[in-house]
Amino acid sequence: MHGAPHEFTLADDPPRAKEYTLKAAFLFNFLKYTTWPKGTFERPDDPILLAIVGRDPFGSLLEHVLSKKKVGAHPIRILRFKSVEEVKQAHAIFLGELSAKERASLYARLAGKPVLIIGDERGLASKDGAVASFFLKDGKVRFEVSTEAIRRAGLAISSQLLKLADIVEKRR
Amino acid sequence: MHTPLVPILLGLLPPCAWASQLPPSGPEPTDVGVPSDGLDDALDLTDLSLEELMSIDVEVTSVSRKAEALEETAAAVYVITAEDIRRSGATSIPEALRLAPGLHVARLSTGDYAISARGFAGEFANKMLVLIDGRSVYSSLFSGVFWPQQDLALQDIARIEVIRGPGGTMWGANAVNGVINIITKPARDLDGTTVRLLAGDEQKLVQTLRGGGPLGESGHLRAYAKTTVRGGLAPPPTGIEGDASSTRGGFRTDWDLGDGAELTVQGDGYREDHTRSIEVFEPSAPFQSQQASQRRYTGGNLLGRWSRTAENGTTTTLQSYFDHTEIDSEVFSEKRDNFDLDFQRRFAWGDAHDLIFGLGFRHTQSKAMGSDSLDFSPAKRSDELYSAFIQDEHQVTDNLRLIYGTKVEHNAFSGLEIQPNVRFSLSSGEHTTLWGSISRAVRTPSQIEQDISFIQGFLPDTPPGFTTLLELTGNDDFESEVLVAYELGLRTRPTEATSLDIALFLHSYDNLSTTEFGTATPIGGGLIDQTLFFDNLMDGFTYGGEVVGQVSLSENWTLQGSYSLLLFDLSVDPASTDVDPKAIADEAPRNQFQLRSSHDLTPATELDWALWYVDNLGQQIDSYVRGDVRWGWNPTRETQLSVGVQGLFHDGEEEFAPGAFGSYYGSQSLFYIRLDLGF
Repeated sequence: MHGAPHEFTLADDPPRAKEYTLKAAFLFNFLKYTTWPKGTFERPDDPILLAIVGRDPFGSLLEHVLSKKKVGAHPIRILRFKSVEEVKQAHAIFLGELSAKERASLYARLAGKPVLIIGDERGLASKDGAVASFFLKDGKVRFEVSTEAIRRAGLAISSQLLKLADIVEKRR
Repeated sequence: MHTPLVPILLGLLPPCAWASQLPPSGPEPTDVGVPSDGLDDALDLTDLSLEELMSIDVEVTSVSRKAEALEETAAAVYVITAEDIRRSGATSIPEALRLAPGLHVARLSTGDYAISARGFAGEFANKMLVLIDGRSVYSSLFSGVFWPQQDLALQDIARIEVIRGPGGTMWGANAVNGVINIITKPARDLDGTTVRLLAGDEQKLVQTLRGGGPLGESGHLRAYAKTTVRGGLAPPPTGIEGDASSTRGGFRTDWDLGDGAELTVQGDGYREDHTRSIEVFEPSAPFQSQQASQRRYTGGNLLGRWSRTAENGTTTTLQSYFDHTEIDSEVFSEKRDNFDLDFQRRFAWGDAHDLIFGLGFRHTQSKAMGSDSLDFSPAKRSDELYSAFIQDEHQVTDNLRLIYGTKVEHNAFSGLEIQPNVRFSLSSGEHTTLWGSISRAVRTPSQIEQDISFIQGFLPDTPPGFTTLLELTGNDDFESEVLVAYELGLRTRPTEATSLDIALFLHSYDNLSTTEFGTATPIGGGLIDQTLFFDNLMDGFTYGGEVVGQVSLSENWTLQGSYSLLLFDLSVDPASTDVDPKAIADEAPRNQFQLRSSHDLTPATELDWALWYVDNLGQQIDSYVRGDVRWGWNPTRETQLSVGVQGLFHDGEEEFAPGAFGSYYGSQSLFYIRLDLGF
């Protein structure tokens, strides 16, 4: 009940609170451990554009948590696009609630572009899908990564992140 | 105070109460997360390493989600979530309140309800404080809530917090037996347009249109319009059908002002027309009869709230609202304007103290007009309410928290009132909390008790050769009813999928209301005017408890069960002439059970059902079982189709004993179909 103006008022939307609080922190780490191709940023203090496409499960959380943070000298700017058609320039994209069709259309639009696409359910990371994707296992947040998708996007991701990931290509 | 001779209290009105003060509750999603830590700390986990992040548990089941938010609260509180409301098929706020364990909700007519926790429900239930987004809707005409006035687009409700037991320290007078705190979603939650159409046996047609989107660079706007046409309850023996129709609309804007500051501006306007049967009295045979009564409620309100959370976590909130209400009926009419101003500040003091204090002011101007049977003196009032409160949450050890504070307020009816409380919460292990409290709360007098003259009936041939007119008159000496409550509770979440919440209470009341005989004066024409007046000649205890358990049988299926027990032990001053002062004890069910199931049959189909058992109310209302069932199909995220029946197994029977206006309407099994579309 702190954080709320009076004793009995409870946290809003208790449902996803903690899950997405965690995921927001993971997102920050993903940005931190990713290197974009040379020339992606003109200046070292250009913002990293993180876009949420589709319905945003974070609410205003990302603004609260990430907008004050920097990755190197890069501030983080949060963008939101309701539909795939609206998607403009972004360095990283978090897939909100989207249909499979919408996701496919997004992947097609971004094919070959250096965009870190992050999904929110198991199975989305693949060589022609998202680069990484969250899932829940045993009540904890886990993430899968497709090394093939990293390569195709022309990104580099630190081994510190990869060693904790469920690598899609290693599954049999 | 309901006695057979004195059907009493009218239905009406008045004020008194001032009540509530309200700590604005900001439904800001910034509170998401662990409510018991500083905001930033709770939300920002970016300083943790990946390894650390991967070791943290996520709350996944709805049981644990709900339990987490409540876990450390040192009060008996239950939260009805937006999802609960959606899945219940409820079409009005009172119907949604049936979901709260321990609350007694009885429908009286198309729009009127008797709602209270821990007893004292009735058409003029006066011990529950009700707030909508920080605006008190507790009527100053009579101490209580006109439920027909209170409605919203239900999809806009983020949650309803139902607190059983007193909340006087934070909320002020009249939060005696409980608080119902209705909180709507921030405007940014709605982006686009939604349409809801509902039709059925009772809700002939309910149409809700909502729309929302960004407003400028940093703002969001949402608005709604809603029309309802209702009827179809079983009429009392008079056969007078009840119905209601309403049109209402409202908006909310939220602005991010930067630097931790936010501004909310919101408002509603409405008109609601009701028809119901009421009892009227006349000095000659047949002395009393039932007639159809039309009541029209109109009103509007506008609220602004500015709040800022500084870097150090200090939160300052300033809230003001203006609320205009009008009621128009054959028996009485009333116009009322409330202007309310509240300031609150919350800050850390040292490492272990979290202090919150507030100041409040309310100005009320009202004009009441009676009829042949009802008179107000004075008819016009202009009253002020001043209040201040302070409360400290002291984190004594990692596991023990002490909360103590008091409210001091001054109102026009009973003067100075002091409402302190002390609470503790002790957590042992990760998911178990023991809490307890001692608190004082008052129910302040109202216009009804101090200002009225109301004809309650005629007794033919009493004494022989005369007709006695019963006239209820105001008593300026009527004092506040006072409660000192002792509560003890335990909340535990033994596994991720189960939770249990137990609350025990002992409420000790002083100065409870009674209806006394006054003077008998011959007034000519064979009539004797026997006056009656309110006094405070009863004391007593209520005691009992509430138990709520939840279990997730699977990811897709949650069951919730609850039980509440309520016992009365009242004692009446021998000087009292009240004919049946303890009737109030017969108007509360001793035992109530509720069992509710939420089941996702497939990702797109839902089956929900609920069963209630409500004990008998004295000799007059038998115990009953009531059921609701709903099937929902969600082919896309924004399209939902629901069909359901409410009030199963409880056909034609009333839910509450006859009151001041005679018999109430009976429950019916009512079918509905609801379609939601989003664009």
